[in-house]
Parts: sequence; structure tokens; C-alpha cells
Amino acid sequence: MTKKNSIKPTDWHSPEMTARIKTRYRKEKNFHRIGVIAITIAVSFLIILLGKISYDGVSGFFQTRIDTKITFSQSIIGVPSTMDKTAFQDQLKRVNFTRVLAASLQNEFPDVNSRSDRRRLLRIYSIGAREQIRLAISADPSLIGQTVILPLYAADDIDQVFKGNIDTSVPEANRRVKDKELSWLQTLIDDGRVYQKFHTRFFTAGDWNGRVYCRCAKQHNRSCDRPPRTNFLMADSPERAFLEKTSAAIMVLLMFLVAMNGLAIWLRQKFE
Amino acid sequence: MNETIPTCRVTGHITLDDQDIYDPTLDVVRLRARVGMVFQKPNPFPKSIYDNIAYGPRIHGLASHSTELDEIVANSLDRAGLWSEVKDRLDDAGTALSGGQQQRLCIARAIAVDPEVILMDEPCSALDPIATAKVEALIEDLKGRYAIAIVTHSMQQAARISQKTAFFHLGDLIEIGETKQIFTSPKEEKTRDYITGRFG
Amino acid sequence: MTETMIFSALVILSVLGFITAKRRSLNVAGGNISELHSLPRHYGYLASLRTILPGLLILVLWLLLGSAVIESMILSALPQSLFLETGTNAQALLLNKIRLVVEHGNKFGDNPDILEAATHYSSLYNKGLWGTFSLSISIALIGMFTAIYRIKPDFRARSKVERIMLLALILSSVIATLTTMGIIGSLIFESVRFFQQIPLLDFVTGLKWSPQTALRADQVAASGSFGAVPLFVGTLLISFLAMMVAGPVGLFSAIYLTKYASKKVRSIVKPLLEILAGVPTIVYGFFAAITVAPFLRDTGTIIGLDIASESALTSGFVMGIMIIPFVSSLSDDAITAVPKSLDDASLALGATKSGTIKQVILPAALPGITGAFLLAISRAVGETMIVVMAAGMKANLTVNPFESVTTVTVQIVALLTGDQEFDSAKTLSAFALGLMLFITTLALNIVALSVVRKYREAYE
Repeated sequence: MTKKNSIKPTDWHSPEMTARIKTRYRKEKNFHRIGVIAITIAVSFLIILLGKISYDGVSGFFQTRIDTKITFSQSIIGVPSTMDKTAFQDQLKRVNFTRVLAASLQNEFPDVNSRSDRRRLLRIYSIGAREQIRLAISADPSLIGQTVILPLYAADDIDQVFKGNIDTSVPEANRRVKDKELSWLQTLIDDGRVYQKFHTRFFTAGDWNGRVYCRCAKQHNRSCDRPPRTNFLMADSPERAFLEKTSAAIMVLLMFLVAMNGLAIWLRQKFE
Repeated sequence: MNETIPTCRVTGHITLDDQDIYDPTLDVVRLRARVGMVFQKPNPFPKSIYDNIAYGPRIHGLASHSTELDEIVANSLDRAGLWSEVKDRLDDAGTALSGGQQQRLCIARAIAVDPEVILMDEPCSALDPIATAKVEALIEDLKGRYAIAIVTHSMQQAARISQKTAFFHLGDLIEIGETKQIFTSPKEEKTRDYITGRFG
Repeated sequence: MTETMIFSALVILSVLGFITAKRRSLNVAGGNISELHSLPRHYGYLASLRTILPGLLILVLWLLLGSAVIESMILSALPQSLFLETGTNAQALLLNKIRLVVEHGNKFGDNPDILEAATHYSSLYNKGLWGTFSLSISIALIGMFTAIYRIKPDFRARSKVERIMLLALILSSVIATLTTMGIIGSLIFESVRFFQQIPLLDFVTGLKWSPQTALRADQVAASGSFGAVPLFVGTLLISFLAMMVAGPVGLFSAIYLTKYASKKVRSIVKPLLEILAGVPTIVYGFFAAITVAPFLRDTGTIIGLDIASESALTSGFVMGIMIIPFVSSLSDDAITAVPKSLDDASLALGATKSGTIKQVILPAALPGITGAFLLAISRAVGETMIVVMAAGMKANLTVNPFESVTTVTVQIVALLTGDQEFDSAKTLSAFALGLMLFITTLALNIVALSVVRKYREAYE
């Protein structure tokens, strides 16, 4: 037996009902919007992360080179070209190619006289430049006594300056790259001898920067295996080169990971 | 509800009180409250029996205070024939009831929002014969108050409990008429073939 | 004769066994497979397993014990004069010398006794190899023949093969379990040594973390304090900040992707979120230290807040980004596990989609979502790389996200990569911290899994 119905039949078009339904639809829209905002936030985090690393790292794939006239002076190298091949390579290991570079630079910049200035001039070139000179003469011993133009690697600081990552308007005392070095660099740039090249050695060989970073870290009495956490108020701290190279390395790693991810997704869809 | 099924396609018109229900300006929320639905497999919410029934009235704001809500719940359960069985355990989970009770709970839930029409999609196909009998008795009771449309594959059920029958075949409406006429002297050949068991 | 040759010989034998057994099984059944209890290849598998497993056992015994046995034989044969000191160190040195001579010829040292011992070693080793070879091959052959001889139509080869497979699987899980227990055991052992030096109560309730131990007897050792509370507060603060980011973003992303997004949107956004999960944590740490920290610090300066460059907010924020995919993916699973019938029931009553989600779906999926959150929290608590690079080193008991704090994981890294003696209290405290961390994450995981399991039964 049904109970007595004391409830009125529902008026689906009363003003209260209409207002209520309107509110519910509005809540629906808001809920929908929150969802869109959420995935937008998540995806933009990803974009910012990848974007910032790519932005910092892209220039790391390029290395500044300076075309320099190198004289393979017999007296400095001190090894006759007539020697037997293995003995020649052996002897070559004991040659100090920094002196070769220094002598060649003396010819280029004759008015650089003081000891400290000449050291500064040398510092425009990377450690790798010595290796390049050694490799050139090792591949072709007949170069002894001759003068050749080699595309030598620029030092990290110079590399960063040329890429425009360092603020040169900061007073000299707060910079690592001093005015003198900048003027020499400018001379070389005006001569058209400074340019950027794709750094294939980044992929094939270890980078000099690991050693550079370690060296500068030891200078600051920090451990080599911890990344820099000090402030970046110095416009051109050595960390700038580290930042660029590390970002480039991370880019390579991430490209590999994304490729693997993509492969996994494709495989999963193929076998579904 | 057909918009929740992506592959569904409808041609022709379906009207409720001369209003086309597929009219895009029609408010779906109101429509779905006016047209209740009971599904093939009983689907009570994993909430208490009380909350199951109260769900509809709550979202539509049909009760202005809790005693009114209690009354609506009690009424719906009573009309569905469940009141005597569950009145002492309204806080128990709706899913703890037997299959037949769950289906009657779903019917009570649909009734609670005071619909005009109730659609039932093979309401007894998941139930045993005793529960089926109970639900069919309930439908008989309810037909005085609500317009009920049932989908069924059992001709016997159609003959037992309906006043009008429509025969659909592969998505086409073949024939519609008084139950007695459909089953004793169908006009269409397909209908006749189905009833006599030549196919289906 | 080398170990590789023995192994290859065993493999060849087992293949032979397979072929022979398979053929014989067909012969025995007169060409009619339905007469056999198992398929012909099962007889083949049984023969090859019975061939290779015993042989491999001998080979493995040789690999594990052979050198040790030979070495003890060599040592006992050496004249006493060679032992400059007593003790195992002297023995180990001598053995090293002998081994070097064996490998490189007599470039190292010209002591005739050592040279003789070396030649003795080589000959023993060779004899051992040949012995292993003959023994393993003979046992393999015995195995093969017994397997093949037994082949009759009612021989239950398949059951035996399946039993061998079952044993292999049990062995693998036993190894995995024993490894876990070994890890826990070593943690407990070292922690006990720590708690012998520092009382447990001081560690668990102390408010000052400044791990020092005296290097010399006259140093002021009292300056060291091992109160772990600031570390745990730091860990919890950063984890809390991470969940503030990851919780809402992850959950609402999951809701949108499961309920609102079209298939195309879902197929693009879901992989993107998975990429977030695939980024190595050191990259996140790098990003935090180099981009987020200066950005927050500079923003703080602009709006007048003093935000440290190693603030908890930096690490917490980046950790949150890393955790978003965890929350999103697990919540996604929880929401899609709710049957569509509940959706239908609610919509049929005239509810809106958001109303359905808020009042039916989310409560139904709540256990799974809770589990997701708890697992994400345990991930945040145990995260190391991001905090090592972006958080501070000095313990600081605070809940201010703008200050620099340190976490349990950072301290563990610092203590274990430092240069203290291994059994000093300072280094051992790392194990105690590790044990606390393990217990915390274990408890979180257990609660998460039990919550999910208990409530999943509700609608299944």
C-alpha cells in the first residue's frame, strides 16, 4: 500500500529549478576548465624544462675556432723529420707544444712583450689547441720547418664571449676575460679569422671541459664531482661554459630517451 | 543518453509531449530526470541504500530539508516494494543486496526524481525467475503512475505485462500496436515470422 | 680447454639430446602422437634439460670453488721460507705474485720458487679443467641416456618439464628475496653499531644535527650532535611542497584525460606526461640548481621576499614536476577502473558530468587515488638527486619554504662520500638515517597497497 504522498509534483521549469540547473552547468564548465588548465600546466613544465636546456645547450654543439699561423719551428720541436716513424711519435710526446704556439703567436702579435701579457695571449687558446698542433705534425712530419694555418680551438672563456653569452660591459675587475684579451680577440675577429664550427668531437671524444672544470674547481677548492651551486652574479664565471656544455650533453641524452620512448609507444600501438 | 555512445546513430524523431528530445536546445539534465532509466545489469552506487535513493533528489534539490528527503526515500522504496525488506538497514551498502533487490533498488532510485516515463532495458535478464516475478509484479504496480517502456527479448514477458508492443528488427521499427493484436494477428510478415519462431 | 669450450660442449649435447628424444618418442608411439602422454617436444625438452643441468652444475662448482681449491694446494706446497710474515695478508700477496707470473710470464720476479709454483698452478688449473670437462660431459651423457631410455608412451614428460620450470622460477624469486633481505640486514647491522655509540632516543628526538666525531682523543667530541629531527622535517617539508604541485595538477590531469579529453588529445598528452617521468632526476637537479633557484631568488628580491638560493621551495617545486606523472598515471588507472555502469546510472538520473565525477566516480576511485598519492609521497621522500643539487647542506629546523633546509637523503650522500673512517659514528649515522628512511617508505607503501586492496573488493 503506497503511503500518502505529501510531496508536490516537481515543477521542472520553476525559477528556482532553472537557476539551480544554470549553476550546475556553470560548475560543469569550471570543472572542465580546471582540467584543461591542469594539463596545460603539466605540458608547459615539460616545454620549459626542455626549452631552457635546449636554449642553453644548442650553442654547445658549436665550438669557436681561430685560424692561426703556426710555425713548426725545427728548433723548438727539435726532432728531425728523418727519424723512424715509431721513434718520431715517441719523441713527439715529449715536445712542449705550448712553446710552439707561443712562438707562433709572437710573430702574429709582435707588440705583446711583457711576460704576463704573453701568458694572457696564450690563454685565448684552449688546451686542445696544443693537441691539434701535435696531431697536425704527427700526421704529416714533413711540415717541420713550415708555416701552416690551423683552425685552433678557442679557450672556453673566449668561446663564451664570441657566442655572446658573457656581459662585457661589466667593469674589468668583475670579469675573467680582461680588456687586453678582448682587444686581441677583436683584432682577430676583424681579420675574419674567428668563426664557429659544429663540434663533432663533442660526440666522438671526451670534452676538454671536463678537465677545465675540474681544474677550475680545484682552484676554488671545491670537489670535482659536484656541480657548481654558488651564485652566478659574476657575469662570466667559468660555470657559464660548464652550463653550456652540460646542457648540450643533456640534450643528447634526452634526445636518446625521447627516441626510445617514441619507439616504445610505436611498438605498443603496433601490437595492440 | 545516446551521446555517451560514440558510434550511435539515430534517424527519425522521438518526442516527449510533442517535444523532440534530440533538439539541441533541449536541456538534457531536465530530460533525463523526467525520463528515468533502469539498466540491464543492476548498478547501484557503492553507497548506502539511503544515499542511493537520495542521490537524484539531492542533485536536483527536490527536498528543502532532511525530513522531506527521508519522506521521498521512504516513498520511493515503498513504491518499489523494498521498504519492508530494507527499512531497518538503510545505511547498509546498496551493493550488499541480492540481484533482484538491487534491481528494485535501481527502480526506486529512478522513481525518486518523480519521472514521467521510465525506460527499462531488459530489466529481468540478469535475474533468477523468482526475482523476475517480483520485478514484473512491481512493473504492474507502477504502470498506473508512470509510462513504462521495456526492452525485452522474451516474447512471453512482453505478452504478460505489456499493453502495447513494438517490434524492432535490425534497427528498424517493423510494427507497433496493441499487445493482443501483435501476438494473435500481426500485420507484417516479419512480425509473424518472429512470433511463430521462424527466426530469432 | 677452456670453460667456454665445456659450456659449448654441454649445449651441443643438450641439442643432440633434444633431437634424439623427440625422434624416439615418435618411434615409440608408432608415429601416432595421440598415443603419447605429452607432445614429442616435451620429451625433447626433458632430455635436453636432464643433459645440461647436471653438467652445468659441475661447471658452476668448478667456477666457484676451483680456484680456491687450487690455491690452497699451491700454498701448502710452498716452502716456508717464502712466508715473510704470518697471516692471511702474506698469503694473499704471494698468491697475487704467483697469479701475475701465471698470466704474464716471468717478467715479474725471478724467484725460482715462485716460478715453480706458477708452473704448478698452471698445470693444476689445466688438469682441473679437463677433469671438469670429463665429469660434466659424462654426467650429462648419463642424464641424456636415462631420459631417452625411459621414453614410453605413458611417460609423463610434460609434467616433469613443468616441474623443472617451476623450480627454476622459485629459485629466481628466492634469489630476489634473499637479496632484499641482505640489503635490509646490512642496514640493520650497521645501524646497530651506530646506536651502540649514539643512543636511539637522542637520534630520534634530537633537534640538532651536526655530525662530528673526534679525530683525536683530545678533541672536543661533544660538539657533535646526531639529532635526526631537522632532517626529517626538511624531508617532509620538501615532500609536502612537491605534493602541493603534483597532487592537484596530476589528479585533475587524470580526470580530464579520462573523462573529457578526446582520443586524439589523450594520445598526445599522455605520452608527453610519460616523458616527464622519463627525464633523469639529475637533469631535474641541474634544472633546479641552474634555472629555478636563481629565478625564485630574483623574483623574491623583486617582491621583497628573502628567498634563499637553496630554498626548500626550489627543490620542492622541481620535485613536484617530477612526480606529476606518478600521480596522474596511477589516478588514471584508478578512475578507469570504475565501471561505466556507475557513470550511466548517474547520468541517467540527470546529473551533470562534473557532478557525476565529484559525487560518484571520485568516491569510488578514492582508494586507488589515495594509494597513488601515498606512493608519490614515498617517491618524494626517497628522492636524492634533485635535493643533492638544489637543497642545502646545513640542517635547519623550520617549516618556512623560503629557507634553506637539508634532507635525510642529502645527508646520507654527504656522509658516505666524505672521508671519515668507516666505523666512526659520523659515517655510521648514514646507515641509521637509511634505516629510518627505509622504514618510513616501507610503511607508506604498505598502507597504500592495503588501502587499495581493501576497498577494491567493494565493487568487484
